Amino acid sequence: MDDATDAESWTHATRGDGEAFGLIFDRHRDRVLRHSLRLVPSWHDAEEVVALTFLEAWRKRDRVRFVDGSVLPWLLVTATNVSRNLSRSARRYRALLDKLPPPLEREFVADNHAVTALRGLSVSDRQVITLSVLEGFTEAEIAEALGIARGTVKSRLSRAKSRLAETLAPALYERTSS
Amino acid sequence: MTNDYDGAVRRMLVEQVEATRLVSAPSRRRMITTSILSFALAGALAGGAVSAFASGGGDESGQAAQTSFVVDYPPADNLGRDIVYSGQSIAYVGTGSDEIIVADRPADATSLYFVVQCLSPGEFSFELRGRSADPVYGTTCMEEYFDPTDLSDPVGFFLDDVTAVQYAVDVTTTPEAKWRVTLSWIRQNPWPTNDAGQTYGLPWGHEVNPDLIAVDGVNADGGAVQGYVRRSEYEQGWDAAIRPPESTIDIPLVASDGVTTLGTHRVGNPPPDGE
Repeated sequence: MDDATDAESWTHATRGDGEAFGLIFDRHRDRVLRHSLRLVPSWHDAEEVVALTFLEAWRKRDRVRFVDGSVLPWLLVTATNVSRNLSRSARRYRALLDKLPPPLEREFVADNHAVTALRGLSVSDRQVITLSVLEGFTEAEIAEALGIARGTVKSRLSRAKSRLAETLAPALYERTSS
Repeated sequence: MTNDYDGAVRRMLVEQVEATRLVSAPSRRRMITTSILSFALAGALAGGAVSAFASGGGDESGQAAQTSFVVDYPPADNLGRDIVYSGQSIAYVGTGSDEIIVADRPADATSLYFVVQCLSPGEFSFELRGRSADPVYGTTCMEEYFDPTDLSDPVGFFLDDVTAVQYAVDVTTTPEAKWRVTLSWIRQNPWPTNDAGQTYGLPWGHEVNPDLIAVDGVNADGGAVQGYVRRSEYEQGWDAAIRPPESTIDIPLVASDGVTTLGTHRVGNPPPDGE
């Protein structure tokens, strides 16, 4: 089972194999957490985004997209959507979340300028930037994960990079001149 | 696992999956509906979506019966699927365990859209199956999920392999538990066609394109605009633009009629920022 692709594990999970879904969680939890830390202001919130992302993945299990057998791009897109309005996203699962122990509060040092700039992007721009620049997926893979044309990925990426550059330029200036 | 929280999340997820495990069908598990919701209740619970009633009520033989009515087409959270409803969407509202016989598949339908919703707290199992076959989709609605203030977002499934002669949904729950199942035959219509016979819309899967591909672009004033590019120009543009030295090429952005010019769409790799 460890060698199974996500798509294969997903098939097992949809037949009621809980461990198959646990395997997918084990495989991608760290990447989703790392991504979430860019989207929300605290470790606690990021942990909650991770839990909600996988719960949403299960709720929408028949609509999940796989890219080359991997569900990771879809999970990252879902994490971005969940983080947009965390309290609203959590409402559906509040009863379940309340049963969990409190997440550890950990210190983490984010590049505040970069994180602020990222959060200033529209969701569609944030999705392509995180998948492309931060997670290293190809434009074809992003197009498939998001269900949009490759050209649209190109244009959104170009636009998002320009906006990030505009936002980050003053911060970079501050750093280099201080 | 790195801490108790991760482990607890993992256990919760595993439990969620196992809670939806399909129940192997016992021989005569199905019991008959114990009561039928009134139309008034159905209308109220449907949140105004009911457009017309088609049938309802139990029959005198005591056989399975559902309150059923035609509803507005349910919004499909379809991640890019371009679907067309084929025939009516029928909602079935009931209480307790029951079987729903799915209406015959229209000739042009390619998929079945199956939406389930719990209308009261309780444990439910919804299983969609070919009438003589094992379940193909199943889900369980646990009491702890139930939120009476949020009945607007039911769970939907697409069944794309519709080769069985007839389908049925088994609802298994406690006698007092209330539920709603909405069934719609749909046709996967990847792309609509304009007057010139050109298909237009989003790509299907990877690199499977209609004649006119939906993209973002800019209009003459530099404003963002959405439109379509011709497949041939799009593909040729990319071929030219990615040939060294890499460049960008602006290709015409048109409306879905394939003629009306809206602006341009840029293909190719833009130079690094700042250049």
